[in-house]
Amino acid sequence: MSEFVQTGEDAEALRARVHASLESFDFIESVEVNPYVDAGGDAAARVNVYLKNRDGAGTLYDEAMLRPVREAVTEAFKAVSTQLWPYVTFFQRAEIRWPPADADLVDEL
Amino acid sequence: MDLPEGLIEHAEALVRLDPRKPKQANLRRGVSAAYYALFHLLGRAVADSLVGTKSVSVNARFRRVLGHQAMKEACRWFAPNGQPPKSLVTLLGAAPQVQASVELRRVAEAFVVLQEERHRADYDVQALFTRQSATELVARARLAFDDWEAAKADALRSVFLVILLAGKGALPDR
Repeated sequence: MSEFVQTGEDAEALRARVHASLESFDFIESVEVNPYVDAGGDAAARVNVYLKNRDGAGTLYDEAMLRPVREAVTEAFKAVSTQLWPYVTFFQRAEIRWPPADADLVDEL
Repeated sequence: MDLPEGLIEHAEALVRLDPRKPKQANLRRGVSAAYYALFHLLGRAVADSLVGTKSVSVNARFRRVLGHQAMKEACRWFAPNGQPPKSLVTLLGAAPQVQASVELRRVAEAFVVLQEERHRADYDVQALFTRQSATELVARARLAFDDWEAAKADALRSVFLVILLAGKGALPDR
Protein backbone atom coordinates (compact mmCIF):
# COMPACT_ATOMS: atom_id res chain seq x y z
CA MET A 1 0.00 0.00 0.00
CA SER A 2 1.25 3.54 0.55
CA GLU A 3 4.19 4.91 2.46
CA PHE A 4 2.07 4.78 5.61
CA VAL A 5 0.77 1.27 5.30
CA GLN A 6 4.09 -0.46 4.87
CA THR A 7 3.65 -3.06 7.57
CA GLY A 8 0.90 -5.35 8.68
CA GLU A 9 0.80 -3.39 11.92
CA ASP A 10 0.09 -0.12 10.06
CA ALA A 11 -2.62 -1.78 8.01
CA GLU A 12 -4.21 -3.11 11.17
CA ALA A 13 -4.13 0.35 12.72
CA LEU A 14 -5.95 1.71 9.70
CA ARG A 15 -8.53 -1.07 9.81
CA ALA A 16 -9.04 -0.53 13.53
CA ARG A 17 -9.60 3.18 13.00
CA VAL A 18 -12.14 2.57 10.26
CA HIS A 19 -14.00 -0.03 12.31
CA ALA A 20 -14.09 2.29 15.32
CA SER A 21 -15.41 5.16 13.22
CA LEU A 22 -18.30 3.04 11.96
CA GLU A 23 -19.35 1.45 15.25
CA SER A 24 -22.19 3.89 15.79
CA PHE A 25 -23.94 2.95 12.55
CA ASP A 26 -26.28 0.19 13.63
CA PHE A 27 -27.25 -0.72 10.07
CA ILE A 28 -23.71 -1.85 9.22
CA GLU A 29 -23.09 -5.56 9.52
CA SER A 30 -19.37 -5.70 8.74
CA VAL A 31 -16.54 -3.81 7.06
CA GLU A 32 -13.49 -4.87 5.05
CA VAL A 33 -10.49 -2.63 4.36
CA ASN A 34 -8.17 -4.01 1.71
CA PRO A 35 -5.21 -2.76 -0.30
CA TYR A 36 -6.12 -1.61 -3.77
CA VAL A 37 -4.36 -0.09 -6.75
CA ASP A 38 -6.54 2.30 -8.70
CA ALA A 39 -6.77 2.61 -12.46
CA GLY A 40 -4.13 5.35 -12.43
CA GLY A 41 -1.68 3.03 -10.65
CA ASP A 42 -1.92 4.83 -7.31
CA ALA A 43 -1.95 2.86 -4.07
CA ALA A 44 -5.39 3.12 -2.51
CA ALA A 45 -7.75 1.19 -0.28
CA ARG A 46 -11.04 -0.48 -1.02
CA VAL A 47 -13.51 -0.32 1.83
CA ASN A 48 -16.38 -2.76 1.44
CA VAL A 49 -19.26 -1.94 3.77
CA TYR A 50 -21.80 -4.73 4.22
CA LEU A 51 -25.20 -3.45 5.27
CA LYS A 52 -27.87 -5.32 7.15
CA ASN A 53 -30.72 -6.36 4.93
CA ARG A 54 -33.22 -3.57 4.90
CA ASP A 55 -36.90 -4.33 5.42
CA GLY A 56 -38.01 -6.40 2.46
CA ALA A 57 -35.80 -7.67 -0.30
CA GLY A 58 -35.03 -4.98 -2.82
CA THR A 59 -35.27 -2.05 -0.41
CA LEU A 60 -32.15 0.04 -0.77
CA TYR A 61 -30.39 2.41 1.58
CA ASP A 62 -30.53 5.88 0.10
CA GLU A 63 -27.58 8.16 -0.54
CA ALA A 64 -28.42 10.50 2.35
CA MET A 65 -28.23 7.59 4.78
CA LEU A 66 -24.91 6.35 3.43
CA ARG A 67 -23.21 9.73 3.11
CA PRO A 68 -22.27 9.95 6.82
CA VAL A 69 -20.68 6.51 6.53
CA ARG A 70 -18.50 7.63 3.63
CA GLU A 71 -17.57 10.78 5.49
CA ALA A 72 -16.65 8.78 8.60
CA VAL A 73 -14.37 6.56 6.51
CA THR A 74 -12.71 9.61 4.98
CA GLU A 75 -12.16 11.10 8.44
CA ALA A 76 -10.70 7.81 9.67
CA PHE A 77 -8.19 7.80 6.83
CA LYS A 78 -7.27 11.41 7.49
CA ALA A 79 -6.83 10.67 11.19
CA VAL A 80 -4.09 8.16 10.49
CA SER A 81 -2.39 10.53 8.05
CA THR A 82 -2.46 8.12 5.19
CA GLN A 83 -2.45 9.36 1.62
CA LEU A 84 -4.43 6.34 0.50
CA TRP A 85 -7.68 7.15 -1.20
CA PRO A 86 -10.55 5.12 0.28
CA TYR A 87 -12.92 3.75 -2.36
CA VAL A 88 -16.05 2.85 -0.40
CA THR A 89 -18.54 0.34 -1.77
CA PHE A 90 -21.84 -0.60 -0.15
CA PHE A 91 -23.47 -4.00 -0.38
CA GLN A 92 -26.51 -5.48 1.25
CA ARG A 93 -25.83 -9.00 2.46
CA ALA A 94 -28.87 -10.33 0.69
CA GLU A 95 -27.53 -9.15 -2.63
CA ILE A 96 -24.39 -11.26 -2.46
CA ARG A 97 -25.98 -14.34 -0.92
CA TRP A 98 -28.27 -14.60 -3.88
CA PRO A 99 -26.52 -15.52 -7.09
CA PRO A 100 -26.82 -12.56 -9.43
CA ALA A 101 -28.19 -13.12 -12.88
CA ASP A 102 -24.70 -13.59 -14.34
CA ALA A 103 -22.96 -15.33 -11.45
CA ASP A 104 -19.93 -16.43 -13.45
CA LEU A 105 -18.55 -12.92 -13.11
CA VAL A 106 -18.55 -12.92 -9.30
CA ASP A 107 -17.13 -16.25 -8.22
CA GLU A 108 -14.59 -14.66 -5.86
CA LEU A 109 -17.41 -13.70 -3.52
CA MET B 1 -32.11 18.23 -22.71
CA ASP B 2 -28.35 18.57 -22.82
CA LEU B 3 -25.96 15.63 -22.68
CA PRO B 4 -25.12 15.65 -18.93
CA GLU B 5 -28.78 15.65 -17.90
CA GLY B 6 -29.59 12.98 -20.46
CA LEU B 7 -26.79 10.76 -19.21
CA ILE B 8 -27.70 11.02 -15.53
CA GLU B 9 -31.30 10.12 -16.32
CA HIS B 10 -30.04 7.23 -18.45
CA ALA B 11 -27.90 6.02 -15.53
CA GLU B 12 -30.83 6.21 -13.13
CA ALA B 13 -33.02 4.23 -15.50
CA LEU B 14 -30.39 1.51 -16.04
CA VAL B 15 -29.88 0.73 -12.35
CA ARG B 16 -33.64 0.44 -11.82
CA LEU B 17 -34.08 -2.20 -14.54
CA ASP B 18 -34.72 -5.87 -13.75
CA PRO B 19 -36.26 -5.46 -10.26
CA ARG B 20 -35.62 -9.03 -9.12
CA LYS B 21 -32.32 -9.95 -10.72
CA PRO B 22 -30.37 -6.96 -11.94
CA LYS B 23 -28.07 -7.73 -14.83
CA GLN B 24 -24.41 -6.87 -14.38
CA ALA B 25 -24.44 -5.26 -17.82
CA ASN B 26 -27.16 -2.78 -16.82
CA LEU B 27 -25.59 -1.95 -13.48
CA ARG B 28 -22.17 -1.48 -15.06
CA ARG B 29 -23.48 0.69 -17.87
CA GLY B 30 -25.39 2.70 -15.28
CA VAL B 31 -22.22 3.40 -13.32
CA SER B 32 -20.37 4.27 -16.50
CA ALA B 33 -23.13 6.64 -17.63
CA ALA B 34 -23.12 8.30 -14.20
CA TYR B 35 -19.42 9.06 -14.54
CA TYR B 36 -19.82 10.46 -18.03
CA ALA B 37 -22.75 12.57 -16.87
CA LEU B 38 -20.50 14.28 -14.35
CA PHE B 39 -17.59 14.43 -16.81
CA HIS B 40 -19.72 16.26 -19.35
CA LEU B 41 -21.29 18.50 -16.71
CA LEU B 42 -17.86 19.74 -15.71
CA GLY B 43 -16.63 19.82 -19.30
CA ARG B 44 -19.57 22.02 -20.28
CA ALA B 45 -18.88 24.29 -17.33
CA VAL B 46 -15.23 24.67 -18.31
CA ALA B 47 -16.10 25.45 -21.92
CA ASP B 48 -18.97 27.82 -21.10
CA SER B 49 -16.84 29.63 -18.57
CA LEU B 50 -13.70 30.01 -20.65
CA VAL B 51 -14.84 30.28 -24.28
CA GLY B 52 -18.49 31.17 -23.84
CA THR B 53 -21.48 29.94 -25.79
CA LYS B 54 -21.56 32.30 -28.79
CA SER B 55 -19.99 29.66 -31.03
CA VAL B 56 -21.49 26.26 -30.41
CA SER B 57 -18.86 24.51 -32.51
CA VAL B 58 -15.91 26.18 -30.78
CA ASN B 59 -17.48 25.43 -27.41
CA ALA B 60 -17.97 21.77 -28.39
CA ARG B 61 -14.40 21.39 -29.68
CA PHE B 62 -13.00 23.03 -26.59
CA ARG B 63 -14.66 20.37 -24.43
CA ARG B 64 -12.54 17.76 -26.19
CA VAL B 65 -9.41 19.35 -24.74
CA LEU B 66 -10.23 18.06 -21.27
CA GLY B 67 -8.37 14.95 -20.14
CA HIS B 68 -9.82 12.39 -17.77
CA GLN B 69 -6.63 11.78 -15.83
CA ALA B 70 -5.79 15.46 -15.45
CA MET B 71 -9.31 16.16 -14.23
CA LYS B 72 -9.04 13.36 -11.70
CA GLU B 73 -5.77 14.73 -10.39
CA ALA B 74 -7.25 18.21 -10.05
CA CYS B 75 -10.29 16.80 -8.28
CA ARG B 76 -8.07 14.95 -5.83
CA TRP B 77 -6.58 18.30 -4.85
CA PHE B 78 -10.01 19.72 -4.01
CA ALA B 79 -11.58 16.65 -2.40
CA PRO B 80 -12.06 16.50 1.39
CA ASN B 81 -9.15 14.08 1.83
CA GLY B 82 -7.09 15.60 -0.96
CA GLN B 83 -3.38 16.32 -0.91
CA PRO B 84 -3.00 19.56 -2.87
CA PRO B 85 0.47 20.56 -4.08
CA LYS B 86 2.14 23.36 -2.16
CA SER B 87 1.99 25.59 -5.21
CA LEU B 88 -1.81 25.40 -5.21
CA VAL B 89 -1.99 26.17 -1.51
CA THR B 90 0.32 29.13 -2.09
CA LEU B 91 -1.76 30.33 -5.01
CA LEU B 92 -5.01 30.18 -3.05
CA GLY B 93 -3.59 31.31 0.27
CA ALA B 94 -4.92 28.15 1.94
CA ALA B 95 -5.69 24.56 1.05
CA PRO B 96 -8.82 24.01 -1.06
CA GLN B 97 -10.07 21.79 1.76
CA VAL B 98 -10.20 24.94 3.92
CA GLN B 99 -11.44 27.43 1.36
CA ALA B 100 -13.80 25.54 -0.89
CA SER B 101 -17.43 24.99 -0.02
CA VAL B 102 -18.55 21.56 1.10
CA GLU B 103 -20.52 21.28 -2.15
CA LEU B 104 -17.48 21.93 -4.36
CA ARG B 105 -15.40 19.48 -2.36
CA ARG B 106 -18.10 16.84 -2.74
CA VAL B 107 -18.20 17.36 -6.51
CA ALA B 108 -14.44 16.82 -6.65
CA GLU B 109 -14.65 13.71 -4.49
CA ALA B 110 -17.50 12.27 -6.52
CA PHE B 111 -15.54 12.74 -9.75
CA VAL B 112 -12.56 10.78 -8.42
CA VAL B 113 -14.73 7.94 -7.16
CA LEU B 114 -16.96 7.74 -10.22
CA GLN B 115 -14.01 7.72 -12.62
CA GLU B 116 -12.47 4.81 -10.73
CA GLU B 117 -15.74 2.92 -10.62
CA ARG B 118 -16.24 3.62 -14.33
CA HIS B 119 -12.94 1.87 -15.00
CA ARG B 120 -14.02 -1.12 -12.92
CA ALA B 121 -17.43 -1.21 -14.53
CA ASP B 122 -16.06 -1.12 -18.04
CA TYR B 123 -12.92 -3.25 -17.73
CA ASP B 124 -12.79 -5.39 -14.57
CA VAL B 125 -14.87 -8.46 -15.32
CA GLN B 126 -14.36 -9.78 -11.78
CA ALA B 127 -15.76 -6.70 -10.07
CA LEU B 128 -19.17 -7.15 -8.50
CA PHE B 129 -21.79 -4.46 -8.89
CA THR B 130 -25.03 -4.89 -6.97
CA ARG B 131 -28.13 -2.75 -7.16
CA GLN B 132 -27.17 -1.16 -3.83
CA SER B 133 -23.61 -0.33 -4.91
CA ALA B 134 -24.56 0.87 -8.39
CA THR B 135 -27.53 2.90 -7.16
CA GLU B 136 -25.38 4.60 -4.53
CA LEU B 137 -22.83 5.60 -7.17
CA VAL B 138 -25.50 6.96 -9.50
CA ALA B 139 -27.02 8.85 -6.57
CA ARG B 140 -23.62 10.38 -5.86
CA ALA B 141 -23.49 11.63 -9.42
CA ARG B 142 -26.97 13.13 -9.03
CA LEU B 143 -25.89 14.76 -5.77
CA ALA B 144 -22.86 16.16 -7.59
CA PHE B 145 -25.22 17.82 -10.08
CA ASP B 146 -27.09 19.46 -7.19
CA ASP B 147 -23.85 20.38 -5.45
CA TRP B 148 -22.44 21.92 -8.62
CA GLU B 149 -25.47 24.16 -8.85
CA ALA B 150 -25.21 25.07 -5.16
CA ALA B 151 -21.50 25.84 -5.57
CA LYS B 152 -22.23 28.70 -7.98
CA ALA B 153 -21.67 31.09 -5.11
CA ASP B 154 -18.29 29.57 -4.31
CA ALA B 155 -15.47 31.94 -5.22
CA LEU B 156 -13.21 28.96 -5.87
CA ARG B 157 -15.52 27.48 -8.50
CA SER B 158 -13.86 29.39 -11.33
CA VAL B 159 -10.40 28.49 -10.07
CA PHE B 160 -11.48 24.86 -9.96
CA LEU B 161 -12.56 25.04 -13.61
CA VAL B 162 -9.23 26.50 -14.70
CA ILE B 163 -7.33 23.80 -12.83
CA LEU B 164 -9.57 21.08 -14.28
CA LEU B 165 -8.42 22.23 -17.68
CA ALA B 166 -4.80 23.17 -17.09
CA GLY B 167 -3.83 21.01 -14.11
CA LYS B 168 -0.35 21.76 -12.83
CA GLY B 169 0.13 24.10 -15.77
CA ALA B 170 -2.09 26.60 -13.99
CA LEU B 171 0.11 26.59 -10.91
CA PRO B 172 3.22 28.65 -10.22
CA ASP B 173 6.55 26.85 -10.37
CA ARG B 174 7.43 27.59 -6.79
